Amino acid sequence: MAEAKQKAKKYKLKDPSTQYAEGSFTLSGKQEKELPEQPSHQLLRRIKAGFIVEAK
Amino acid sequence: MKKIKNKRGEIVELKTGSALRSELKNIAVKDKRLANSADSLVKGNSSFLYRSYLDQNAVTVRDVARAFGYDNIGMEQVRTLYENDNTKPLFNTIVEDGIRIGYAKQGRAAQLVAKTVPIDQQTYQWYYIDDPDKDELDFSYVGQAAPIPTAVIKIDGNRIIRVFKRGAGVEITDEARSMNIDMLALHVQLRGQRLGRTDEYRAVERLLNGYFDDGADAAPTLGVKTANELKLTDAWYAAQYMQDKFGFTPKVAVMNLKTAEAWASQKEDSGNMIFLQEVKNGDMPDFINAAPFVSNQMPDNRIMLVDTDYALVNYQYKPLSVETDRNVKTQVEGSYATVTDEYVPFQKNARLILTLDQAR
Repeated sequence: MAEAKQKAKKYKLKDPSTQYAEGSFTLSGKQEKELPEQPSHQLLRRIKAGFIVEAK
Repeated sequence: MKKIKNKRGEIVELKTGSALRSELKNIAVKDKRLANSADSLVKGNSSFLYRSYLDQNAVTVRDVARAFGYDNIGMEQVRTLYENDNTKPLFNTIVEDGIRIGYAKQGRAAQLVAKTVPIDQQTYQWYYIDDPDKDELDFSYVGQAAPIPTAVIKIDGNRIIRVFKRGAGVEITDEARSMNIDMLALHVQLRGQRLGRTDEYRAVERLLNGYFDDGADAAPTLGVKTANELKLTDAWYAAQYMQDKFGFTPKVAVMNLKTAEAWASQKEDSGNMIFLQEVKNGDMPDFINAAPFVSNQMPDNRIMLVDTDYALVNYQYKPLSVETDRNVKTQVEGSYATVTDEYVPFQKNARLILTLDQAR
Protein backbone atom coordinates (compact mmCIF):
# COMPACT_ATOMS: atom_id res chain seq x y z
CA MET A 1 0.00 0.00 0.00
CA ALA A 2 2.76 2.34 1.04
CA GLU A 3 4.63 1.28 -2.05
CA ALA A 4 1.69 2.14 -4.30
CA LYS A 5 1.51 5.55 -2.68
CA GLN A 6 5.22 6.06 -3.27
CA LYS A 7 4.80 5.28 -6.98
CA ALA A 8 2.02 7.82 -7.41
CA LYS A 9 4.31 10.62 -6.28
CA LYS A 10 5.70 12.86 -8.94
CA TYR A 11 9.27 14.02 -9.12
CA LYS A 12 11.04 16.93 -10.79
CA LEU A 13 14.50 18.41 -11.09
CA LYS A 14 15.61 20.66 -8.27
CA ASP A 15 17.41 22.88 -10.80
CA PRO A 16 15.30 23.24 -13.98
CA SER A 17 18.33 24.38 -15.97
CA THR A 18 19.72 20.83 -15.87
CA GLN A 19 18.33 17.49 -17.05
CA TYR A 20 18.39 13.82 -16.18
CA ALA A 21 18.11 10.94 -18.62
CA GLU A 22 18.36 7.19 -18.29
CA GLY A 23 16.65 4.81 -20.69
CA SER A 24 12.98 5.70 -20.94
CA PHE A 25 12.95 7.96 -17.86
CA THR A 26 13.92 11.52 -18.63
CA LEU A 27 13.41 14.82 -16.85
CA SER A 28 14.06 18.30 -18.17
CA GLY A 29 12.99 21.83 -17.30
CA LYS A 30 10.00 21.85 -14.97
CA GLN A 31 8.64 18.46 -16.02
CA GLU A 32 7.07 16.38 -13.28
CA LYS A 33 6.97 12.63 -13.71
CA GLU A 34 6.27 9.47 -11.78
CA LEU A 35 9.22 7.21 -11.20
CA PRO A 36 9.48 4.06 -13.32
CA GLU A 37 8.18 0.85 -11.69
CA GLN A 38 11.68 -0.34 -10.95
CA PRO A 39 13.76 2.79 -10.43
CA SER A 40 17.47 2.23 -10.94
CA HIS A 41 19.98 2.59 -8.11
CA GLN A 42 21.37 5.61 -9.87
CA LEU A 43 17.97 7.30 -9.96
CA LEU A 44 17.37 6.57 -6.28
CA ARG A 45 20.80 7.98 -5.45
CA ARG A 46 19.92 11.16 -7.35
CA ILE A 47 16.76 11.52 -5.27
CA LYS A 48 18.68 10.90 -2.06
CA ALA A 49 21.24 13.53 -3.06
CA GLY A 50 18.48 16.07 -3.74
CA PHE A 51 19.17 16.45 -7.47
CA ILE A 52 15.69 15.11 -8.19
CA VAL A 53 13.03 16.16 -5.69
CA GLU A 54 9.40 15.37 -5.00
CA ALA A 55 7.00 17.74 -6.77
CA LYS A 56 4.57 19.34 -4.37
CA MET B 1 68.73 -17.05 -21.49
CA LYS B 2 68.73 -15.95 -25.11
CA LYS B 3 70.54 -13.04 -26.63
CA ILE B 4 69.03 -11.08 -29.50
CA LYS B 5 69.61 -7.80 -31.29
CA ASN B 6 66.99 -5.16 -30.45
CA LYS B 7 65.57 -2.25 -32.48
CA ARG B 8 68.40 0.01 -31.32
CA GLY B 9 70.98 -2.51 -32.57
CA GLU B 10 72.04 -3.49 -29.06
CA ILE B 11 72.42 -7.11 -27.97
CA VAL B 12 69.96 -7.80 -25.17
CA GLU B 13 69.53 -10.85 -23.01
CA LEU B 14 66.00 -12.23 -22.74
CA LYS B 15 65.46 -13.31 -19.18
CA THR B 16 63.38 -16.33 -18.27
CA GLY B 17 62.20 -18.09 -15.12
CA SER B 18 63.04 -16.51 -11.78
CA ALA B 19 65.32 -13.87 -13.34
CA LEU B 20 62.39 -12.67 -15.45
CA ARG B 21 60.04 -12.72 -12.47
CA SER B 22 62.35 -10.55 -10.39
CA GLU B 23 62.74 -8.17 -13.33
CA LEU B 24 58.95 -7.91 -13.67
CA LYS B 25 58.63 -7.30 -9.96
CA ASN B 26 61.14 -4.46 -10.19
CA ILE B 27 59.05 -2.87 -12.93
CA ALA B 28 55.89 -3.15 -10.81
CA VAL B 29 57.54 -1.77 -7.68
CA LYS B 30 58.82 1.27 -9.56
CA ASP B 31 55.29 2.11 -10.76
CA LYS B 32 53.45 3.94 -7.95
CA ARG B 33 50.13 2.55 -9.14
CA LEU B 34 51.21 -1.08 -9.30
CA ALA B 35 53.56 -1.32 -6.32
CA ASN B 36 50.87 -2.62 -3.94
CA SER B 37 49.84 -5.48 -6.15
CA ALA B 38 53.31 -6.32 -7.51
CA ASP B 39 53.38 -9.92 -6.25
CA SER B 40 49.98 -10.90 -7.61
CA LEU B 41 50.71 -9.25 -10.96
CA VAL B 42 53.98 -11.16 -11.31
CA LYS B 43 52.29 -14.42 -10.29
CA GLY B 44 49.57 -13.90 -12.91
CA ASN B 45 52.11 -13.18 -15.69
CA SER B 46 50.69 -9.68 -16.10
CA SER B 47 50.74 -8.58 -19.71
CA PHE B 48 51.28 -4.98 -18.62
CA LEU B 49 54.52 -5.86 -16.81
CA TYR B 50 55.77 -8.07 -19.61
CA ARG B 51 55.01 -5.42 -22.20
CA SER B 52 56.92 -2.87 -20.12
CA TYR B 53 59.82 -5.33 -19.97
CA LEU B 54 59.76 -5.75 -23.76
CA ASP B 55 59.60 -1.96 -24.23
CA GLN B 56 62.55 -1.43 -21.90
CA ASN B 57 64.58 -3.81 -24.00
CA ALA B 58 63.21 -2.46 -27.29
CA VAL B 59 62.04 -5.86 -28.53
CA THR B 60 58.64 -7.09 -29.71
CA VAL B 61 56.56 -10.18 -28.99
CA ARG B 62 57.52 -11.55 -32.40
CA ASP B 63 61.24 -11.01 -31.72
CA VAL B 64 60.96 -13.03 -28.53
CA ALA B 65 58.90 -15.79 -30.15
CA ARG B 66 61.45 -16.03 -32.96
CA ALA B 67 64.30 -16.19 -30.46
CA PHE B 68 62.64 -19.20 -28.85
CA GLY B 69 62.15 -20.97 -32.16
CA TYR B 70 58.66 -19.93 -33.31
CA ASP B 71 58.98 -18.19 -36.65
CA ASN B 72 55.26 -17.93 -37.29
CA ILE B 73 53.69 -17.66 -33.89
CA GLY B 74 50.12 -17.40 -35.23
CA MET B 75 50.24 -20.97 -36.52
CA GLU B 76 51.42 -22.47 -33.25
CA GLN B 77 48.99 -24.22 -30.95
CA VAL B 78 48.09 -22.46 -27.73
CA ARG B 79 49.40 -25.55 -25.92
CA THR B 80 52.88 -25.25 -27.44
CA LEU B 81 53.27 -21.66 -26.34
CA TYR B 82 51.74 -22.25 -22.97
CA GLU B 83 53.66 -25.32 -21.95
CA ASN B 84 57.04 -23.80 -22.70
CA ASP B 85 58.15 -21.79 -19.68
CA ASN B 86 60.17 -19.47 -21.88
CA THR B 87 57.21 -18.45 -24.00
CA LYS B 88 54.43 -18.64 -21.39
CA PRO B 89 54.76 -14.94 -20.45
CA LEU B 90 54.12 -14.09 -24.12
CA PHE B 91 50.69 -15.64 -23.92
CA ASN B 92 48.98 -12.87 -21.96
CA THR B 93 50.66 -10.22 -24.06
CA ILE B 94 49.18 -11.84 -27.18
CA VAL B 95 45.76 -12.02 -25.49
CA GLU B 96 46.08 -8.36 -24.47
CA ASP B 97 47.02 -7.42 -28.05
CA GLY B 98 43.89 -9.16 -29.31
CA ILE B 99 41.68 -7.48 -26.74
CA ARG B 100 43.23 -4.12 -27.48
CA ILE B 101 42.65 -4.52 -31.22
CA GLY B 102 38.98 -5.39 -30.62
CA TYR B 103 38.71 -2.59 -28.07
CA ALA B 104 40.15 -0.06 -30.49
CA LYS B 105 37.98 -1.26 -33.38
CA GLN B 106 34.68 -0.85 -31.62
CA GLY B 107 35.33 1.39 -28.62
CA ARG B 108 34.81 5.04 -29.29
CA ALA B 109 35.18 6.26 -25.71
CA ALA B 110 38.61 7.65 -26.60
CA GLN B 111 36.94 10.04 -29.06
CA LEU B 112 35.16 11.69 -26.13
CA VAL B 113 38.02 11.82 -23.63
CA ALA B 114 40.10 14.99 -23.28
CA LYS B 115 42.85 13.33 -21.23
CA THR B 116 43.66 10.15 -19.37
CA VAL B 117 44.98 11.04 -15.93
CA PRO B 118 46.93 8.29 -14.16
CA ILE B 119 46.21 8.16 -10.42
CA ASP B 120 47.98 6.20 -7.70
CA GLN B 121 45.03 5.57 -5.37
CA GLN B 122 41.58 4.13 -5.93
CA THR B 123 40.01 7.37 -4.75
CA TYR B 124 40.86 10.82 -5.97
CA GLN B 125 39.85 14.29 -4.88
CA TRP B 126 37.82 16.44 -7.20
CA TYR B 127 39.75 19.52 -8.26
CA TYR B 128 37.71 22.30 -9.76
CA ILE B 129 37.62 25.99 -10.60
CA ASP B 130 34.75 27.83 -8.98
CA ASP B 131 32.34 29.22 -11.56
CA PRO B 132 34.76 29.34 -14.47
CA ASP B 133 32.43 31.43 -16.59
CA LYS B 134 33.16 34.56 -14.63
CA ASP B 135 35.54 37.17 -15.98
CA GLU B 136 38.28 35.80 -13.75
CA LEU B 137 39.42 33.46 -16.47
CA ASP B 138 39.80 36.22 -19.04
CA PHE B 139 43.17 37.60 -20.03
CA SER B 140 42.35 41.08 -18.86
CA TYR B 141 43.93 44.48 -18.57
CA VAL B 142 45.74 45.04 -15.28
CA GLY B 143 46.04 48.57 -14.00
CA GLN B 144 49.20 49.91 -12.33
CA ALA B 145 49.76 48.19 -8.98
CA ALA B 146 46.40 46.47 -9.36
CA PRO B 147 46.09 42.78 -8.49
CA ILE B 148 46.20 40.32 -11.37
CA PRO B 149 42.83 38.56 -11.62
CA THR B 150 43.15 34.88 -10.73
CA ALA B 151 41.04 31.77 -11.01
CA VAL B 152 41.55 29.48 -8.05
CA ILE B 153 41.77 25.72 -8.49
CA LYS B 154 40.13 24.26 -5.40
CA ILE B 155 39.74 20.86 -3.88
CA ASP B 156 36.26 19.75 -2.89
CA GLY B 157 36.44 17.81 0.36
CA ASN B 158 32.89 16.47 0.01
CA ARG B 159 33.22 15.05 -3.45
CA ILE B 160 35.49 12.14 -4.13
CA ILE B 161 36.01 10.20 -7.33
CA ARG B 162 36.19 6.44 -6.91
CA VAL B 163 37.57 4.22 -9.63
CA PHE B 164 36.23 0.71 -10.16
CA LYS B 165 37.70 -2.42 -11.57
CA ARG B 166 36.03 -3.70 -14.69
CA GLY B 167 37.00 -6.99 -16.19
CA ALA B 168 36.32 -9.68 -18.73
CA GLY B 169 37.86 -13.08 -19.08
CA VAL B 170 38.55 -15.77 -21.63
CA GLU B 171 38.89 -19.33 -20.36
CA ILE B 172 40.38 -22.13 -22.36
CA THR B 173 39.78 -25.78 -21.51
CA ASP B 174 42.72 -28.16 -21.70
CA GLU B 175 41.14 -29.74 -24.78
CA ALA B 176 40.71 -26.44 -26.59
CA ARG B 177 44.39 -25.64 -26.29
CA SER B 178 44.87 -27.37 -29.60
CA MET B 179 43.56 -24.25 -31.37
CA ASN B 180 46.21 -22.08 -32.90
CA ILE B 181 47.18 -18.62 -31.71
CA ASP B 182 45.54 -16.85 -34.65
CA MET B 183 42.20 -18.47 -33.78
CA LEU B 184 42.60 -17.47 -30.14
CA ALA B 185 43.48 -13.93 -31.19
CA LEU B 186 40.19 -13.64 -33.08
CA HIS B 187 38.21 -14.87 -30.07
CA VAL B 188 39.84 -12.38 -27.74
CA GLN B 189 39.36 -9.60 -30.28
CA LEU B 190 35.63 -10.22 -30.07
CA ARG B 191 35.88 -10.01 -26.29
CA GLY B 192 37.78 -6.74 -26.63
CA GLN B 193 35.12 -5.39 -28.94
CA ARG B 194 32.49 -5.90 -26.23
CA LEU B 195 34.69 -4.19 -23.66
CA GLY B 196 35.04 -1.25 -26.00
CA ARG B 197 31.29 -0.90 -26.37
CA THR B 198 30.62 -0.90 -22.64
CA ASP B 199 33.41 1.60 -22.13
CA GLU B 200 31.75 3.90 -24.63
CA TYR B 201 28.36 3.52 -22.90
CA ARG B 202 29.89 4.58 -19.61
CA ALA B 203 31.63 7.61 -21.12
CA VAL B 204 28.38 8.77 -22.77
CA GLU B 205 26.42 8.20 -19.56
CA ARG B 206 28.87 10.28 -17.53
CA LEU B 207 28.73 13.11 -20.04
CA LEU B 208 24.94 12.98 -20.10
CA ASN B 209 24.19 12.88 -16.39
CA GLY B 210 27.48 13.89 -14.78
CA TYR B 211 29.37 11.91 -12.14
CA PHE B 212 28.13 13.41 -8.88
CA ASP B 213 24.67 12.47 -7.66
CA ASP B 214 23.87 15.99 -6.46
CA GLY B 215 24.36 17.43 -9.93
CA ALA B 216 27.57 19.36 -9.14
CA ASP B 217 28.84 18.55 -12.63
CA ALA B 218 25.48 18.40 -14.46
CA ALA B 219 25.58 19.85 -17.96
CA PRO B 220 23.66 22.99 -18.95
CA THR B 221 20.64 22.47 -21.20
CA LEU B 222 18.95 24.32 -24.01
CA GLY B 223 15.50 23.80 -25.53
CA VAL B 224 14.48 24.13 -29.18
CA LYS B 225 12.37 26.88 -30.76
CA THR B 226 9.24 24.70 -30.85
CA ALA B 227 9.09 21.75 -28.46
CA ASN B 228 9.29 18.31 -30.10
CA GLU B 229 10.31 19.78 -33.44
CA LEU B 230 13.98 19.73 -34.36
CA LYS B 231 15.01 22.23 -37.01
CA LEU B 232 18.26 23.10 -38.73
CA THR B 233 18.19 26.52 -37.10
CA ASP B 234 17.97 24.90 -33.64
CA ALA B 235 21.28 23.18 -34.32
CA TRP B 236 22.82 26.42 -35.53
CA TYR B 237 21.47 28.30 -32.49
CA ALA B 238 22.80 25.65 -30.07
CA ALA B 239 26.30 25.79 -31.55
CA GLN B 240 26.34 29.60 -31.37
CA TYR B 241 24.89 29.58 -27.85
CA MET B 242 27.56 27.19 -26.57
CA GLN B 243 30.27 29.30 -28.14
CA ASP B 244 28.86 32.62 -27.05
CA LYS B 245 27.69 31.78 -23.53
CA PHE B 246 30.32 29.32 -22.40
CA GLY B 247 33.22 29.79 -24.82
CA PHE B 248 33.30 26.14 -25.87
CA THR B 249 33.10 24.79 -29.41
CA PRO B 250 30.96 21.72 -30.01
CA LYS B 251 33.11 19.10 -31.73
CA VAL B 252 30.89 16.05 -31.35
CA ALA B 253 27.08 15.73 -31.28
CA VAL B 254 25.89 12.61 -29.45
CA MET B 255 22.39 11.32 -30.21
CA ASN B 256 20.55 8.05 -30.65
CA LEU B 257 19.57 6.56 -33.97
CA LYS B 258 15.98 7.86 -33.83
CA THR B 259 17.17 11.42 -33.27
CA ALA B 260 19.87 10.95 -35.91
CA GLU B 261 17.15 9.97 -38.38
CA ALA B 262 15.15 13.08 -37.48
CA TRP B 263 18.28 15.11 -38.17
CA ALA B 264 19.20 13.36 -41.41
CA SER B 265 15.68 13.81 -42.77
CA GLN B 266 15.57 17.61 -42.30
CA LYS B 267 13.63 19.22 -45.12
CA GLU B 268 13.47 22.59 -46.78
CA ASP B 269 10.09 24.33 -46.99
CA SER B 270 9.78 23.00 -50.53
CA GLY B 271 9.88 19.46 -49.13
CA ASN B 272 13.33 18.61 -50.49
CA MET B 273 15.70 16.83 -48.15
CA ILE B 274 18.55 19.07 -47.03
CA PHE B 275 21.00 16.22 -46.50
CA LEU B 276 19.94 14.12 -49.48
CA GLN B 277 23.51 13.74 -50.75
CA GLU B 278 24.86 12.56 -47.39
CA VAL B 279 22.01 10.08 -46.98
CA LYS B 280 22.56 8.78 -50.54
CA ASN B 281 26.26 8.30 -49.77
CA GLY B 282 25.46 6.47 -46.55
CA ASP B 283 27.02 9.26 -44.46
CA MET B 284 25.63 10.86 -41.37
CA PRO B 285 25.36 14.65 -41.87
CA ASP B 286 27.34 16.84 -39.47
CA PHE B 287 25.36 18.59 -36.76
CA ILE B 288 26.43 22.03 -38.03
CA ASN B 289 30.16 21.79 -37.27
CA ALA B 290 30.01 18.91 -34.81
CA ALA B 291 30.77 15.36 -35.94
CA PRO B 292 27.77 13.08 -35.32
CA PHE B 293 28.22 10.32 -32.74
CA VAL B 294 25.30 7.89 -32.73
CA SER B 295 24.92 6.03 -29.45
CA ASN B 296 21.99 4.02 -28.14
CA GLN B 297 22.88 5.23 -24.63
CA MET B 298 21.21 8.50 -25.51
CA PRO B 299 17.47 8.68 -24.86
CA ASP B 300 15.00 10.15 -27.36
CA ASN B 301 14.69 13.93 -27.32
CA ARG B 302 18.31 14.60 -26.38
CA ILE B 303 21.30 15.75 -28.40
CA MET B 304 24.50 16.34 -26.49
CA LEU B 305 27.04 18.79 -27.91
CA VAL B 306 30.50 18.07 -26.56
CA ASP B 307 33.72 20.05 -26.70
CA THR B 308 35.90 16.96 -26.53
CA ASP B 309 38.99 19.00 -25.60
CA TYR B 310 37.62 19.79 -22.13
CA ALA B 311 34.53 17.72 -21.40
CA LEU B 312 35.67 14.39 -20.00
CA VAL B 313 38.64 12.99 -18.09
CA ASN B 314 39.49 9.31 -17.73
CA TYR B 315 40.97 8.72 -14.26
CA GLN B 316 43.01 5.56 -14.57
CA TYR B 317 44.32 3.62 -11.61
CA LYS B 318 45.30 0.46 -13.46
CA PRO B 319 45.60 0.39 -17.23
CA LEU B 320 44.26 -2.49 -19.32
CA SER B 321 46.21 -5.59 -18.38
CA VAL B 322 45.73 -9.34 -18.71
CA GLU B 323 46.59 -11.87 -16.01
CA THR B 324 46.21 -15.64 -15.92
CA ASP B 325 44.82 -17.95 -13.33
CA ARG B 326 44.11 -21.65 -13.34
CA ASN B 327 41.17 -23.30 -11.65
CA VAL B 328 42.52 -26.63 -10.47
CA LYS B 329 39.07 -28.10 -9.92
CA THR B 330 37.75 -27.46 -13.41
CA GLN B 331 41.19 -27.58 -15.05
CA VAL B 332 40.30 -24.45 -16.93
CA GLU B 333 42.95 -21.85 -17.51
CA GLY B 334 41.69 -18.31 -17.82
CA SER B 335 43.11 -15.02 -18.97
CA TYR B 336 41.41 -12.08 -17.33
CA ALA B 337 41.57 -8.56 -18.68
CA THR B 338 40.93 -5.80 -16.18
CA VAL B 339 41.06 -2.04 -16.14
CA THR B 340 40.46 0.13 -13.07
CA ASP B 341 39.26 3.57 -14.04
CA GLU B 342 36.38 6.02 -14.15
CA TYR B 343 35.10 8.70 -16.50
CA VAL B 344 34.32 12.06 -14.90
CA PRO B 345 33.32 15.36 -16.56
CA PHE B 346 36.13 17.90 -16.38
CA GLN B 347 34.46 21.17 -17.27
CA LYS B 348 30.70 20.94 -16.92
CA ASN B 349 29.94 23.65 -19.48
CA ALA B 350 32.05 21.94 -22.14
CA ARG B 351 28.89 20.05 -23.00
CA LEU B 352 25.43 21.34 -23.78
CA ILE B 353 22.38 19.12 -23.82
CA LEU B 354 19.65 19.99 -26.27
CA THR B 355 16.32 18.98 -24.76
CA LEU B 356 14.13 18.54 -27.79
CA ASP B 357 11.00 18.19 -25.66
CA GLN B 358 11.42 21.71 -24.22
CA ALA B 359 10.92 25.08 -25.89
CA ARG B 360 13.69 27.59 -25.25
